[in-house]
Parts: sequence; structure tokens; C-alpha cells
Amino acid sequence: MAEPILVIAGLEMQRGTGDSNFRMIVDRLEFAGGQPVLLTGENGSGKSSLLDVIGLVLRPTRSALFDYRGREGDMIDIAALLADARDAALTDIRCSEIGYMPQTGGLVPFLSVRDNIALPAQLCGRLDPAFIDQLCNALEITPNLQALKPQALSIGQRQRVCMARAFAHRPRLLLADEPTASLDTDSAAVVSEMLIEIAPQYGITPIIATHDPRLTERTGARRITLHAKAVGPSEVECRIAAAA
Amino acid sequence: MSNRRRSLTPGAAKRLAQVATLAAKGLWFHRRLTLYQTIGLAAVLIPLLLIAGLKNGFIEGMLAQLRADPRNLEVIIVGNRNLDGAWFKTVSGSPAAGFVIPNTRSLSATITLANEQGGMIGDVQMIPTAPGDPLLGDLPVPTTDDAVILSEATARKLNVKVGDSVRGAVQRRMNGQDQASVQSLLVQGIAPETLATGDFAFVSLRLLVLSEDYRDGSAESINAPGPGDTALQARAYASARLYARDLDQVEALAQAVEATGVSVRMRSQQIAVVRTLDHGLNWVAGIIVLLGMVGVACSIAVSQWLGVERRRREISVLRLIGLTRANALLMLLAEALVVATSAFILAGLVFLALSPLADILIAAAEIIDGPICRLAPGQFLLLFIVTAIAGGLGALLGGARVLGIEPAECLREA
Repeated sequence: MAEPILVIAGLEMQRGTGDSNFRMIVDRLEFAGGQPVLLTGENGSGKSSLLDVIGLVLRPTRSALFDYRGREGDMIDIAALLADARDAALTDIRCSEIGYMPQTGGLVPFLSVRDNIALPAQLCGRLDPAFIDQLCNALEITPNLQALKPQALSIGQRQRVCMARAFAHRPRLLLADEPTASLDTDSAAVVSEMLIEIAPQYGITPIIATHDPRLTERTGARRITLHAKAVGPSEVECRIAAAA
Repeated sequence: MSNRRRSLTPGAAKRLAQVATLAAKGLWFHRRLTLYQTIGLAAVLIPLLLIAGLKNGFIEGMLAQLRADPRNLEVIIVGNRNLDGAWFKTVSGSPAAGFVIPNTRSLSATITLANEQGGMIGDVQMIPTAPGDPLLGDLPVPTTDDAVILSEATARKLNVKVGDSVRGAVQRRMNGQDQASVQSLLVQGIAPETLATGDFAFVSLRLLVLSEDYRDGSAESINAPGPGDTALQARAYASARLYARDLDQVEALAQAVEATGVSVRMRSQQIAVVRTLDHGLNWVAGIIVLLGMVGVACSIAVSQWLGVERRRREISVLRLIGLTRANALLMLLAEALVVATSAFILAGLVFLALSPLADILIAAAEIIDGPICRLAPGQFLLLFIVTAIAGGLGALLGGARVLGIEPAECLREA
């Protein structure tokens, strides 16, 4: 196994109140750099929650260890940043190191397709127009399409734009939540290939929550299946054991 | 392990520019809304500018009229005093003082003037003058003791013009005898009606002092050599001609003189009236501007409040891919400032178009000359700054909800 890019241990996350409580406990989870990961499991098993915790947009209630390996091999203590609620520092890491591919939408309506793709790269100061051209080429986002506003695009086109945007700033992690759910076969194939085969070539480690066979049946990805079980009248718990 | 790393993202200035660009693109995308919002704000600002302009033009016009007449600068000493050289030094040293010259008792300051044809006027008031006399304006002051500047009325009655000579006679009664001393005087200039109304002769201080001394019996004639400059300065005088440096200094000069124990009154009561009017109108205009600015702030606050709700998802996306909470709020602030600035420019243009109309409509009343509705660049700037502050406050108030938008909100459908 390659050097871990992310190590999580002793993490707890709680969601919901009263009648429906969801709790996630991660004993230990390591992600190897460059190794695509598929998070699978039934609806409500905690795929999205885990993705959000990794994506630094959902605060865990407790985290003993949450180390992220930075670009220069240094370890960043996310647990400490979370404990101190360092919004700016966390935003900084999100901006520079993580690419997101939301379920649907997630594009900025007032920016052109090209500007949408370039925005994260601009914000973190790593704009590389040649790389963006390359991505657009691979994802069949023509120059005509690049000039349009997102509202003029089909769902499939939007997802491909989201994909290009998630790649454009060469993040270290790429988080995708059901990226193919609303796509036709052709688009799904392009997106799947980009995620599983192409991303690692750019040093990007994709972590994908999905139950789409078009993704899960691909080879070369590590698969983590989450199981949630009722532990009380209104309590559901998902535990990721150290051996997962 | 350390969190002290160099920042992963560019510096603050660059981020500011990026946020401003996002704000501009957002405004352009919603340009129809932006336009309506701008017009709405301009509609609030235009009456404010007009009211400020009217107040300003009215007061400035009245002050300009007062300024046009140098007599309004005068501070008049009440009664006859005993003013010595030290007193004159004190008063001349006041920063409010523009022109100070000793004067004699008014009763002993008259002269009878006659022309060569025998025409004559008695009781012409002699006024001591010197370089810098505001009443003479650009006229050359008498350079010798036998030169004189006559008021227009006097020159007309004597039928003399500049360069002519007149005979001046000062009378006294001594030892039961009527006596007179006569001096030939060169008419060096004629002061227009606007500067001196009535029979006046502007003379050198020495000629005036000689006349007084002759009346008192301490001088033999008014064409004697008279006292030297030092003696003139050392002498005590019954009165003085006092003029302030400018209109705003008249009250200060009056106070400075009162402080020496000498009662004074101001020539122009109008100055105080205009000041009171200015003060009162400032209050009224201030309240109207303040209320208008509350309107500006509320209008922007409401549109930002609604805008944040409408744009919740896109703001969440921006937060996700790299804007901090502060950046997001800054974006709303930048949008509000652009709208407020555009509205102010629009309102300013409408004001510039409308103010000549107000001038024409009100000019018929002939209250004051000149433009009635106008704003100086500095006043425009001040009103703009107030507008920008009101707009910014409104944006912060209405946009504060943006701080509660979480980056996770956009990741999946609610």
C-alpha cells in the first residue's frame, strides 16, 4: 500500500436529533495516495456523511486522529483545526487540496462554464489554462459550451463541467457523491473513466460514494462497504472497524 | 507535526480582487435586478441631492451677496473711547482683523469742500484711510496729505473729476472768533456709490488729526507739517475703523474687540440672520439626508436578505470551493457598494440636469443672484461617502445571514 494521504482514527459523528439519530464511528481508516476508493452501502448507511467529514464540510463530534498529508509530504493536523474551528484554515485546505463533485448542480449560475471550471484553480492560485483545455477536451466540453452559462446545459453536460472543475486545480483528493446517478450511459462511462483511471495519473485520489454498478463494476478501485444497523429505538449506527 | 504552513492560497489583495470580480459578474448576471435596484436607490438619492443643493445654493448666495459689499466687514465702536497705541497693537494682532486704522471723534471729522467755481458743501465726513482699505477696493489710496478720494455723490455735487483740485476748509471758534484753515486738495479718486453712500472724503490720517488738532486749538492750521508717523502711532484716539479679514471673521473680530472692554456692534445684522438660517437649514437638511440614508440602508438590506435566500445554493458552492465566510460577506458588501455607487452617479447626473431648472424657476423670485441649486465637489463627495456607508451597513445587516450558509448545503439535493 502506498503512503497514506489521509488517516482517520477514533472519529465520531452524530447527526439528527430526537426521533432519528444517526451515529458514525470510525475506529481507523487510511486512504492510500492515488488509490481510488468506492464507498458503497445502502441508502442511509453513512456514505455521504463520511464523504462530508473527509471533505471538511461536516464537523465530527470527536476525532482522535485526522491527519492529512499535504502536497510537500507534511502532515496537517485537521483534528486540531476542527477543534479550534479554524474556518479560514479549513477553507484554505478545502480550496487547495480537495475537489468536489456534488450529486447534481453545484455550478455557479452567474459564471460561464469556463469560469466555473477555472474558479477553484484561480482561488488557490494554481490556474493552468492548458490543463483546463486538456480537461475540456477529454470531457467533450467544446469551446462553444465553455462560453455558456450553466443554465443552458443539460444535466449530463453539467456533471461533466463539475468533473472538470473538480480536476482543474489538481487537488489531492476528489470527493464525488453519486456522480453518475443522473447520467446516461455515455456520460456515465466518461465520468467513471475520469474518476477511476485518469484521476490517479494526476496524483488525485478519488473517493466516490456510489451504488451505481457502472462504477462499482470497474476494476482498480478499493471498495469500502458501509453497514448501518439499529442500536436502539431511534438510533442507527454505522461503525467502520479498523480492518475495513 | 505542525499546522504552521505557508498559506496554500494567494494573498489577501489577490483574494479581494477575486471576490470583487465575482461580485461584478454576479451583478452583471442579474443585471435587470441590479438596474432596478440602482434606479430605486437613485430615486431616494435625487431629492436628497436637490434639498442639499437648494440649502447650499440659497445660503451660499446670501453669503455671496454679503461678501460683495465690503461694508459688511465693518465692526463699529460704540461711542468715543480713549484708544492708545497698545490697544491698536492688540486689535491689529487679532487673526480676525483685516484693516484697522485710528479715527477721531466723528464731530471733529467734518470738512467743508468748495470747487473752483465757488460751489460748496459743508459737513463732508472725513474718513481716514491707508493702503488695504476694504472700502476703497482697487482705488489708489491718498499718497500725500493734500490728496483726497471723494465719494461719488460729493464729486457730483462739486462737479469735479479725478485730477481736479478742491479747497477744503476746517472751521473753529477760538477766543470768541470764528476762524478757518484752508488747504487745497487734489481729487485723486472717486469712490463709487456701492462703496460709500453719502458725502465722504477719504483722507490721510495725518490730515484728519491735523483738523482735529486745529479745532482743539493745538494746531495753527491744517496745512502745517503735522505730527510724524511715530507721534501718530503713539497718540490716543477716540475711535477706530475696524474691518474683519472676511465675512466669517466679523463675529470673531467683534469678540476680540469686546474682550478689550470696548463695546462694538456689527455693521451688518444680516450676517447673524444668515448664520442662524444656515444652522437651522443644516439641521433640516441633515435630518432629511439621515432619513434618506436609512431608506438606502434598508433598501439594500432587504434586497441582500432576499438575495442570500435566493442564492443560497450558489453561495454554498462558492464556500465549498474556496470562499471563507468573510469572503462571502465581502462579496455581498462589494455588490452593495457597486449598486450604491451607480445609484449615486445616476442621482448626481439627474441632479446636474435638474438644478439649472430649479435655478430658472426660483431666479424669478430675485432673492439672490447666481445659481440657487448647486453642490460643491466636496459636498458631492461627502454625500457619496455617507451613501456608501449607508449601503455598506445595509449590506452587512441584510447579508449577515450568508455567514450561516454551510458549504455542505450544495453537495446534494435537500
